[in-house]
Amino acid sequence: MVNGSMDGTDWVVTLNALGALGFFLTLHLVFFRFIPHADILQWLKRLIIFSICANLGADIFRLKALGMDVFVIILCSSVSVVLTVLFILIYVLGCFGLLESAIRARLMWELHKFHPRPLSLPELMRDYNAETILKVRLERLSATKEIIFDGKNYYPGSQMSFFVFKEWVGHIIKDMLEGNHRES
Amino acid sequence: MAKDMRYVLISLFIYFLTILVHILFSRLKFSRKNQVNVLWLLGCLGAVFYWNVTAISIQADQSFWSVPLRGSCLVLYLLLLFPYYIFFTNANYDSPSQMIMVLLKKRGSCSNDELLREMTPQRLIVSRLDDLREEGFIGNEGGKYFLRTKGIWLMQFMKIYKNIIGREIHG
Repeated sequence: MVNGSMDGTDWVVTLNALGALGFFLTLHLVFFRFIPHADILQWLKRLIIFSICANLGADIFRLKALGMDVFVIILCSSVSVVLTVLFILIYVLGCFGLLESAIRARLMWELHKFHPRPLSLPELMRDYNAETILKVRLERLSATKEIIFDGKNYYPGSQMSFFVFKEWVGHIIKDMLEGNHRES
Repeated sequence: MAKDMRYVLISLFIYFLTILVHILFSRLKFSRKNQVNVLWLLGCLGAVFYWNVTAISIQADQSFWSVPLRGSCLVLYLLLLFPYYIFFTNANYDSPSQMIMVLLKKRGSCSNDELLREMTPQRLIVSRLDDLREEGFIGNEGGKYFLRTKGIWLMQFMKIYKNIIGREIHG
């Protein structure tokens, strides 16, 4: 092992994470065109778990072949799984999320449809407005069981929600950026 | 246990240091564009710092003491900057899904109309249009919005991506 470069273990960890991203992207590009919009979060979760399993399998197989002991395999596999999750997260939030759920991208798409004619706010909101945004979100959250609809009202579903967690982290970062101290 | 994971710990330490310096810088009320530029600059400095610190301080080998994950932990450091960037840039927006979940948690239940009352065009649409204008993706003249060159390029890319993936832009 040379101190200034990457060695076998290092390459295995990084390349397996990239391989898992490739695996995710292949299945994603092939199958996601057939999945209804409301079910997208559910299938995304399944595909991420599937990619992590594939990554873990490849890690264990390759690191065992390199003659690593069990604790080293656990550590390396953990780092590789975290890298896989981050690679996928960046793709989902940076590319797929733009297409699927970014309000800003959709607003620009509405302008693009009529380009070069400029649009007033009411014209822009004719096809895409607060009502449409709410409808799409409610469908998506209902499909993942994060909210429950009884025919009249919506109720929170699962106790641990990704969006509540995101709100919590977002608030912490916002408060730190603004230098606020939240009262308990 | 900590000694087994020195590369991981050093990369995480430098990551949190980078975030801390960036948060302190962001409190100086510079424009958001400059705050983002500073984040990437700090990220690059952090990466160089990590690479040098690990070269000096760790004699890596195949033992349990220092599993050689120098490159992987550099990648880990760089990748971790992106979720922070996303949280940082979204800190000023109200995400509709988040608004729904938070409202339901707070009130216990809500009807469609109650939720719609909270989802005002000002909160969901106008704030984002202002932001797009500030970032140079769109322009506004006489109360009418239009795409600028940067926005047209982005939409061309989205069009190609949308065709590859076979899905519509839902928003």
